[in-house]
Amino acid sequence: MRKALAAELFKTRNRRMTYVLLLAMAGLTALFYIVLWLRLRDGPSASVASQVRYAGLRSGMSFSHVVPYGLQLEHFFATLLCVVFTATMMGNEYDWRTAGLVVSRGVRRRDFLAAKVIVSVGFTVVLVAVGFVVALACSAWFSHLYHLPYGDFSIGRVGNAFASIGRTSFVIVPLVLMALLFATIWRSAGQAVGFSLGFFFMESIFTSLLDTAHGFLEKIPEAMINANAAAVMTANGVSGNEGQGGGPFSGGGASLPMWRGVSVLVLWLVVFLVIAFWRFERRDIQE
Amino acid sequence: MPEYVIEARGLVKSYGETRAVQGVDLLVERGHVYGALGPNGSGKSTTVRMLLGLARPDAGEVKLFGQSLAHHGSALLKRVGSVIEAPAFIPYLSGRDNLRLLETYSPHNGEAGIAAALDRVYLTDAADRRFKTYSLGMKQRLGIAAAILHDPDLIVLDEPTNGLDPQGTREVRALIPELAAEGRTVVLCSHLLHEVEQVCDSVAIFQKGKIIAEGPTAQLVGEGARLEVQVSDPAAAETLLRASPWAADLSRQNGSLYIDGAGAQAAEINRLLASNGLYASVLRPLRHSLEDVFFELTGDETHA
Repeated sequence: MRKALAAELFKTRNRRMTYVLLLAMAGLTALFYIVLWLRLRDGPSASVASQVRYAGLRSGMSFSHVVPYGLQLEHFFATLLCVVFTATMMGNEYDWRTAGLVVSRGVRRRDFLAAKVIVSVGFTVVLVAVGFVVALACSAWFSHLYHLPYGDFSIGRVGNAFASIGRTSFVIVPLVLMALLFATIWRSAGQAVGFSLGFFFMESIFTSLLDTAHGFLEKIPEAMINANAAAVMTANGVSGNEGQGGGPFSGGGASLPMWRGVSVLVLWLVVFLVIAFWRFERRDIQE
Repeated sequence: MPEYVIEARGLVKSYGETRAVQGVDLLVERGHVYGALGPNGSGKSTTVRMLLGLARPDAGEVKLFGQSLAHHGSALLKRVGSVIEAPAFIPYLSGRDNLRLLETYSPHNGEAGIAAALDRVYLTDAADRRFKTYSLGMKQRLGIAAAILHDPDLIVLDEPTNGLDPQGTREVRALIPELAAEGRTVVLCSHLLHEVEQVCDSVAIFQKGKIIAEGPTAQLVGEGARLEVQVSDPAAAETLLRASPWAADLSRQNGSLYIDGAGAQAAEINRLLASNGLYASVLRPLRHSLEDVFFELTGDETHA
């Protein structure tokens, strides 16, 4: 297992896409803050609603709120990038037929796949951390520019920042493992990216439709990923609708208790992992 | 009793409705160069994939080095090196880094082993170029370097001379007996009849998912040998032989008599002729090429 992990890290270190995705994360986070800054620079219109929105935006961009808002913003980009990373990491092994090369040399299939799971999860944490560092820098700049509060620099706040990075990474991992699973099933990177990101975007649309239904249909969204991710993300400090931790069009979920969010996401993780390992162990590597 | 490196019994593999392999039995002795010969789609590559744990047989059993692949797969496959179809490597890594990666998975001789393997396939100068920039021949050579990197006891090469120039082809063909001379067993899958005939001790001919002939190459090409007979009175000899058990296989061309499949029976035929006062001036078995044997066995249904 240690050797398979070392080999996977060797591939990841030498893969250009690793750095492209990390740069993309940094760039997208910075770009988002810049767009917000351009919006802020124009100031609010005369209406009360506009002034309230403006004040909310300024507050969200301050260094004191970087943990909830910065990570909230990142969650979306990081999910896209991590899904691409993981699906290509597994799918390319089939496309290049290197999975067969490795397995035919006596590397255990479960070690091969487990190394990929570990590296995917590790990459997710690193990617979220990189985005967070950029968010820190951008929000510090805004706070300096607009004399916004920096907040305190207590150990508790630092600890909360690390915990929030962990929570944000955790809610991304189910989709990452979904991408790994479908890359394993379909032996293709492209289909796995398409399906996982399609799910990420479409889930919110369908669950928001089901929110208006009655009976068991109404309960379906609570068993899905987005609503439970939102429940976990509320612990980062964003509340109400601001705490949407799910997909790009997500609503709701913040009302679910966090323990429930964690439990359901863990359940999804286990399901994806079990199916992926079961399938990879039993099926032909090459037809 | 011979020691078998590969023992496959009753292998069956289907893909949907297609039966790719139908009850293949394979025995490969230690130190032999064994050829798997057959046209595309004859089942030889699927059989090899099952030997390497890449495809699960629907039925049958594979033993490598006397142990079951199903139960000891990982440990057994560590003793095997292979190139299956086209060489498979990570395109963004250099040739050397691809071998480093394999060394990371299963460490053996480290950098020294990598350098030696690259040197053996004449790839040292291009070792630090990315794999995706390699020509097909260079990719094949890197595949062979990877196959021998961990000093395996069994090497499986599927079409190893594909894409090689004549010089490269000659080098690879020279390398195969060298590997066998070092005590390794080599399985060579090829559709090139002369290649198999040149380097293999034993051959299995695949057709439609089955082995239709198998045995030592010399025996296989000798079995169907024709006997050429020249005597001073060919008409009398023909009359005599027409009344013998060889009558059905007899033909006469340009003053010579030919008896199909009688290459090993020259002494008996000579005795028959001599006892009737006909003395042979020429009596020689005409050796078939593997190509003759192959097409004789497979008919016109396939193209090797």
